[in-house]
Amino acid sequence: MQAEDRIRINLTVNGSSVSQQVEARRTLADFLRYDLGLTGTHTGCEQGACGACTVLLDGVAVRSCLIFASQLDGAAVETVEGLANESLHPLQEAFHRHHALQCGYCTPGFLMAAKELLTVNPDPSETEIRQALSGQICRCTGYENIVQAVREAADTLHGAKGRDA
Amino acid sequence: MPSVKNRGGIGDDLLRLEDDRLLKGQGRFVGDMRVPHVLELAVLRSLHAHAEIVSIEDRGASALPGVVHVVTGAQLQEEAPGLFALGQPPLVAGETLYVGQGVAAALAEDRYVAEDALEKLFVRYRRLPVLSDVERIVEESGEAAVTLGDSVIGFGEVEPLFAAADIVLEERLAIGRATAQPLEGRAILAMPEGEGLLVYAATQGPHGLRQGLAKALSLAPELVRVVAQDVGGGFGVKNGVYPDDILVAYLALKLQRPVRFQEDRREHFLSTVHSRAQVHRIRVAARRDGTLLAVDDDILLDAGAYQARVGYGRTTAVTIPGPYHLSAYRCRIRDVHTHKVPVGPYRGAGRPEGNFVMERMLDALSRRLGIDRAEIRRRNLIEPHEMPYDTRIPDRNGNGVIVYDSGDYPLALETALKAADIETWRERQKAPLPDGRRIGVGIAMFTEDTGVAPFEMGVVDLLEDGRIRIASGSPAQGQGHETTFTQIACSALSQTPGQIVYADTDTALVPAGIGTFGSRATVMAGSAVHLACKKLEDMVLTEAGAILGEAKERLSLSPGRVDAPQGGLQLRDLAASIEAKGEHLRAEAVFRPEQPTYADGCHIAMVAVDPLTGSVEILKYIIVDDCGNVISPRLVDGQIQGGLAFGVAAALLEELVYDNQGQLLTGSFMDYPLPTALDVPAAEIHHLCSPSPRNPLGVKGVGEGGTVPALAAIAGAVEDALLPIGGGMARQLPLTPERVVRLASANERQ
Ligand code: FES
Ligand code: FES
Repeated sequence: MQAEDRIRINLTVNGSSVSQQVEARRTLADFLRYDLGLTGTHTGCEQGACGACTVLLDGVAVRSCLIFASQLDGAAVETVEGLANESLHPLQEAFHRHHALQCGYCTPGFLMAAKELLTVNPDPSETEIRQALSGQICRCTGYENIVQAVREAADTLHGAKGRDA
Repeated sequence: MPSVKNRGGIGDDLLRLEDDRLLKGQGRFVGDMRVPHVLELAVLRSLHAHAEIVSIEDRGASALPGVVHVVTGAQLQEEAPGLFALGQPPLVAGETLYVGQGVAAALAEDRYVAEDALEKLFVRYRRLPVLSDVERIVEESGEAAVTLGDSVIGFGEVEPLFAAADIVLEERLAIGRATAQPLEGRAILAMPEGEGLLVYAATQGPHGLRQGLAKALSLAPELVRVVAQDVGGGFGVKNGVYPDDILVAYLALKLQRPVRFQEDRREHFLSTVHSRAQVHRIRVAARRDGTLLAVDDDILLDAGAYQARVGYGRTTAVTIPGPYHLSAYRCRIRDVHTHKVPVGPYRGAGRPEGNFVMERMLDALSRRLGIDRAEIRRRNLIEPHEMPYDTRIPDRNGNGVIVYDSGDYPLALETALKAADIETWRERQKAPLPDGRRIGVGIAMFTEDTGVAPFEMGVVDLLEDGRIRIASGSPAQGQGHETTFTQIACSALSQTPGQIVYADTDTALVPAGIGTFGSRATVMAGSAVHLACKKLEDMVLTEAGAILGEAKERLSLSPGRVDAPQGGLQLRDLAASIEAKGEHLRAEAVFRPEQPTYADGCHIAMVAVDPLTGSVEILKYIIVDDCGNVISPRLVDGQIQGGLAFGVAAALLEELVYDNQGQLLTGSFMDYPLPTALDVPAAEIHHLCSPSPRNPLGVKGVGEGGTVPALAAIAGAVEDALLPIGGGMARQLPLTPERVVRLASANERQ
């Protein structure tokens, strides 16, 4: 691939503007990891089947291994690195409290997928959480603690029951 | 809502200490490391299961801009024949023995470019006959079939017992080929350092990797330093030395540049060890009252193309007798050579298979004799008053006999039955559910040797700032060693977690080690850390005594301090005065037990099966687990729940299917389905506690107990659901929908 095949893209990543030349074939996942050094987004299959690479693209959860960075001119991308500010995001906090991660390799993808879920469905049932996250593979935890964590984060984020429990 | 205490000693419900960086996307996985001028390795892999490589033509690969190096197996053999002396070669020079075996490699600063180069290498193959199906191989060749291992273990005379038995049952039972699929693939980064290498690897055993690399490269082991930082799951397959590891290390040395290999998922399917893949012909002899007399098993293990670096057939064999009395036992294991990916350990490492066949045979006996599944187990269990129990089974190394250390198996069974409310389920299953599905209940018990292999080492330092650094030879791949070992250190040294610094496993820091596998880390490395802490305590109190002018017996530790009858000393000040003398306090301890510990437990699965579609839903799942003393309660439960997911996978989902030409037909997550949040139920976990007398912590391993009996419990439940409508015996795993539908209409006559 030659330099002349490179395409300039302007986008925001976690709120900061980025302007960069990318190869047409560069996946968003590789762009984030290797060009921007945002290595929190992991890849587990690069075939769109595991969800490890999930990021938010204009607020929608997508698999960054299946999208070319060159398609993203003008887009807003959110990754796991953008979740915490001073303190952890309620989802991160809940994952910690519920032991919802072991190796942590899948965790960034789960956090982003869960963030989208709680945006579209602020008060999901356990079944809805399981369905919404069924495209995300976690090999370590057996999922139960992830489900509980997402449920707790929903409560925290929307000030519903169980806040101080 | 979990309640949280934060004191931090053994048994406290501590939140994990390693979470923060992982939650923020600041993990330190091998692929996350930014290394200037690192070359990424891409490997061209054989398209054929068995073929001669006639030629490899470079049609522009080396000339591609950005490509730094291209090498074929033949070239490598010529320039570095030493690499080919040990087991599996780093690249094939002559004959490929499985689809996925490396035949050439390219290096570039960008993996995309390295892969471009591979596309410009043209390989001419001459195809050779393929060995694929083990039963066919043995049927056609008999005793002449090529095996990579053939052994018999057992005790007593089985034949007279079979001749005299009231009942003899014989079955063919099979467990499909499967593999671990950690979400992070294999990964290794080698950087030239002095005359040697600094290696960062996603490995379960840094010391073994160092040993293997040093041997392959003819380097002194001290010249190879291996560090394991964050590792994205291991489950058995990230152990030992892979051909790609040797290639990376060799090329880094040769080119004097950092070289990294990151496996992609397709490569993982085609080059990381597979597992299970067993066919059993098992016979059981029993009395009419259900008393087991003898078991005789003949295992064919589809071993793949090379001898397993770590065999697990014998582990299957020693697992089969389980918690039951037997008068005689015999098991033959043949590792049959095929043209497939070599096999190795995978969560349970042979134990789930052994447990599966034994528990299935107990269910068959229950059915034959009309004795309830729980009752038939009850009648054969080893009793607590028999502990320690001499099983008469030779241990895996053949040096001794397996003696169970402790446990109350009848209590495990009764606890599980009560928790499951089994009578209610028996009632419920009399009628189909309104949607036509049938309910079934499966029971499986297990014993498991945990804390295996010779030794582990702990290294504990008093740091200059007064904190205490702990390290061991067993790195974590998600198990949470930082938390668990910190809790062990907190108890041993009366500290709080903030006083403890956990160090990654680094061969430069820990002189010797074995690794993390076989449910051994807490038993082995945990005990070694404990012993090293106790040594350090003694050293610290001695030093403090000298400064304070007190006998060390009158001193004790408290968080950050040495306490004396009057006053005392901050650890920080003590450390500073020791460092000022140019000294340093370090304690090393090796834990080397005579025998492993034996964990046990009972699983009960309640399922709903649709006989028409073959779908299986797990409605409720009970686990009673006895892993002795518990260090980190939520981590232990996390291991059990996570382990169950592997059991569900083996029972219902995952199978590596090959055709008769040795081509893998299920080579992606699309056709090798990993369990999702919709497949894995929340286990209801109950603990019993029979501390092991074989280590200072009284612990037993827990990494595999969630998996081992789950295959049998789930298969038993599916079978149980279908029996009333004429279903057959569940003999083959995984129970895919297709197999369940066939099972439902098997119409086997008793
Ligand atoms: S890496 Fe993108 S879905 Fe698996
Ligand atoms: S925590 Fe390891 S894959 Fe999810």
